[in-house]
Amino acid sequence: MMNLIENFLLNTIRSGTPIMFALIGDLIGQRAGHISLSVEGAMLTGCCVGFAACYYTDNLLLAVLLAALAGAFVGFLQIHFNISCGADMFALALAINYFCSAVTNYFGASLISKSISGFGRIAIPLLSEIPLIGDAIFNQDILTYISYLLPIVVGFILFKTKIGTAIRTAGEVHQVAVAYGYNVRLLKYGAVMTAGILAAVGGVQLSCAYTMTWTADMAGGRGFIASALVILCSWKPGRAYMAAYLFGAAQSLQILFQLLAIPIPTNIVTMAPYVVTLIALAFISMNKNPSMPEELKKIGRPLEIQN
Amino acid sequence: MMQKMTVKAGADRPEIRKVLMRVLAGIFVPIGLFSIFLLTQRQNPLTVYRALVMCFAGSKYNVGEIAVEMTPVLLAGMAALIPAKVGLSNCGGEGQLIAGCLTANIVGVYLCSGLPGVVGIPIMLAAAAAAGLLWAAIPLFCKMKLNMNETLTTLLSNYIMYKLVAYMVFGPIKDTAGNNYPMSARIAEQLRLPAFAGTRANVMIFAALFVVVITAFVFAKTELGFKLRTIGGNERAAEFAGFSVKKARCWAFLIAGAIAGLGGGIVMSSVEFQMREATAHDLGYLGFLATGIAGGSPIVSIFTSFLLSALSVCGTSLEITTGLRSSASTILMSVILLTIFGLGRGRREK
Amino acid sequence: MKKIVKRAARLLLAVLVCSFLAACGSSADVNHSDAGGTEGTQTAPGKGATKIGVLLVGTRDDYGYNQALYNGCIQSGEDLGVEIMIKESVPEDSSSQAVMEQMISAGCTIIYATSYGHREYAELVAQEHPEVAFFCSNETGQAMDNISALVTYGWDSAYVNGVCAGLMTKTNEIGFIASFQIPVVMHSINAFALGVQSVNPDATVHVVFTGSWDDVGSQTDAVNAMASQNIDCIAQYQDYTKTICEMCEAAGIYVVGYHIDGSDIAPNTFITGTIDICTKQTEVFRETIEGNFPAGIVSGGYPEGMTGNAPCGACVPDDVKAVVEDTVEMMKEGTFEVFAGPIYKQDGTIAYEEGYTPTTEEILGMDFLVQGVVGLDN
Repeated sequence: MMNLIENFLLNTIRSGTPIMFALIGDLIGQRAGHISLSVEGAMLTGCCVGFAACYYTDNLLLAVLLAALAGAFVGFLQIHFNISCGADMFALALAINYFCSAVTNYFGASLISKSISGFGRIAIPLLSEIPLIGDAIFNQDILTYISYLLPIVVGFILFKTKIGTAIRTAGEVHQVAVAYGYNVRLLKYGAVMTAGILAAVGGVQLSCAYTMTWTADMAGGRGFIASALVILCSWKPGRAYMAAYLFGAAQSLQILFQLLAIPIPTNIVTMAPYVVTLIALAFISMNKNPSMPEELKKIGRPLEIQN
Repeated sequence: MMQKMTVKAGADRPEIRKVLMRVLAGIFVPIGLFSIFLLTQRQNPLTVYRALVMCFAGSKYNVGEIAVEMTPVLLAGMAALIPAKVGLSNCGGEGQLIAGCLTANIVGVYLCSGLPGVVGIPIMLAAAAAAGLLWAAIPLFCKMKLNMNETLTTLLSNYIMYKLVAYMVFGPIKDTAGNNYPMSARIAEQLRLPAFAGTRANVMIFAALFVVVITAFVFAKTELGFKLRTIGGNERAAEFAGFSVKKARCWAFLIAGAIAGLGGGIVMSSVEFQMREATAHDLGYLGFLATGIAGGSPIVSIFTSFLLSALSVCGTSLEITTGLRSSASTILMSVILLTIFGLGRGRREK
Repeated sequence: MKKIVKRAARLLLAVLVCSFLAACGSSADVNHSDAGGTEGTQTAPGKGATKIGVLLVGTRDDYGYNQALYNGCIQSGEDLGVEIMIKESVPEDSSSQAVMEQMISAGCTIIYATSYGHREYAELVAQEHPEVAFFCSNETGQAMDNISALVTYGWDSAYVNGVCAGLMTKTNEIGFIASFQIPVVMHSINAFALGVQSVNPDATVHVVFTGSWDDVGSQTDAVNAMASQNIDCIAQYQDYTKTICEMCEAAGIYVVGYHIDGSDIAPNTFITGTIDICTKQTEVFRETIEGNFPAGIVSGGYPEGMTGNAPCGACVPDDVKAVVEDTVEMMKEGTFEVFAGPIYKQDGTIAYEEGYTPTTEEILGMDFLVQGVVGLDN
């Protein structure tokens, strides 16, 4: 039983981490008034670029940097074509995802049979000795540790710093941001490109730490989910822990249920996270003071930014 | 804006030149980019483009295939476009279309198997439309009563529909007379829409075009369309003018769901005949994309749907004849899409 | 409105220019309608074929089923001197029908549809084109003169895997990471479990279905979860199998491969695995081209050389190796029936009575798990 719980925690965290990165990334983007479903494509690109860099150079830092660069490019496509060319942000994101999928599929084909050493697990002394949770939480790879801090850091930046206020203002009433002298265009570009970067780093975690594998389309909808989960944490970074690990838990429960022979059809178990997200969304939406950025309510109309 | 208008009247010539430039860019940028890609892959671009064009220039069957693909894409496109006109966004065409497909199969197999086609097919299609409507009603309810963002609820509902179909074909509707593979039973022969000779296309492509033209007509020429556009353009103004915003939005959304569901029903009775886990996947998203690049115009979405369907059909024949990977034709499609987005509405607001 | 016209014009022009370019590029007037060399409908299907169309359900370099098929078919093409036309990622729905039609119009007179989900659509196309020979990967379906099935009795090698795993396990807990609850997977799990039980009656097989052929995330989670359950040997029925081999190597768990010999990925823990599933197509293609289309079914297991096992890995001790090799020899003789009764279902009810041997059709439609397997059959 102990083993079971320990493993449940481990799998929850490992499968929740890529989602955490993309979720926090898109949260920043959504705070700036822009939903990027293309975090799916950014994550996939990150998986591929990170894996390739890992394989050819064996330099983990380089892998993360190159993946981040690729993610930033995906984010740039998303925001540039949306703001400057007036493309519908969801349709555009679909096209970007097709593009990322096709390109990584094509150029990543030769990497499928390759093996890498990737990110090793680093046990934190003392903390990793804690019974039950120690090994699952404090014996992880470096990217997972970063993901633990990510919501706190991003929360701090968004709510306690000047730049955070600027981003949030740009996402609420951009005219106000303009009036304050902020460069709204630049803020939005930055926020959405950050979303791409973080999602790509999540992709690196997925391909170089969690599975040590590159396969075609391996992101498998994780980015889409992350994007939807942003609402589940009602745009508050602190709640990302709950949202990301809820999804991770559902993933690992699906396996555990089968191992314990609990007779629930597999497809019903895998449906659960989506239904839970939907229900949680309902509760959050009934909140009298939802923290939804104002600009998000205007989705579907072309953005007009006057600077 | 004002400045531009005054300039425009006296400057038709530069305007035309600009349009022409953009047309040329729209053609040559993707072709050029893809040619570079092909050259790096040691393929002769001319052979590849010839294969692409020969695909539908030389074959009646392939033209039919484009029509087959285009029918649900058009309808799913309308499912995204109509709510967008009244200020709602429906990303759930995919799920609504599959709901229609699933329902048409269940109705076809369990209720209509003994009925003649003239009765059975309309019942199936009506059931499919109803299913799409009901599947759209869930996010609509969430929007109207619980104030939930419809973009995300519809997106989530697509995933739930995928899983629901998987559950159904592995369990309740699995064909017991078959070989225990996860497929439903097939609908009876007489419930399948008769195809034009030598193709798989049928009369439903015209039905889909008709739906699009009606939509365009309603929005462009009727008072109802004016009201709806006002609602989509400025909610306050519409309320001020005494339009019932909520009611209009509800109906628009439900009708959108029904149209997508109808698309699913058509897919079932035209080509699929049985339900599998991946049946009709991606058609809804392609429709969404088609209206996305059409910039919200129903008529333009006919062209964009044609473009996407043709690329998908001809991509297959490209792959067969040149030996390129399947991802290569997706690269071509996405480069074209991104180019169109990039040229898109341009900076006309500036 | 003006905008609409502009955009429409742009698209039309795009199409026109494309056509123009193509017309310039095309030197010969290609007419597809009479391609394929079908002199008369009376000749055997696929006779004298110069082009063979192959439908893959995944991509050609997936390091699994599709790659094995791709390499096998390309090799056949070279051996027979015919052109192989490939379409990757063909979904298991009606679009496979269109792909087959397009292949035929490109001149293919032999079509190899390699996934079970393509069979029904192959039947529809086969009706229209009696001159074209079709090979499918499952035999259940309508019998037709120009459809043949290339069916591997994978249970033979799965049984051998089971024998090896049953002897190697020390905890008597064996894992099986499967994809979907479909017959071809079910009978492999069952054969594996029967193989385990034949040498180690105390062992239990724990099966997990990932609901995908290649979701590496679920595969990793499954290996981790199994490791925590005291499982020390993992078998698999997946398409992409590298991740599981690597994870098992890292965790020190014995691993049974699928499609590929994993001994270079998991040098210390790979024990054996099913390989050689695509060995027959060159032979049947040759027969077809010569005019002897093998209608009905081309099937077989070990005796026919249509399945095989990878050599035992370095970690397998000699005495186990000897038993495994004996089992292989027994399989090759072709007298051993894996599913000879009595076979019990999970809940203890009898599936096949003592003395009864199920027909091939029964095995190919298997939808239950045998006693001793822990897992869900739906």
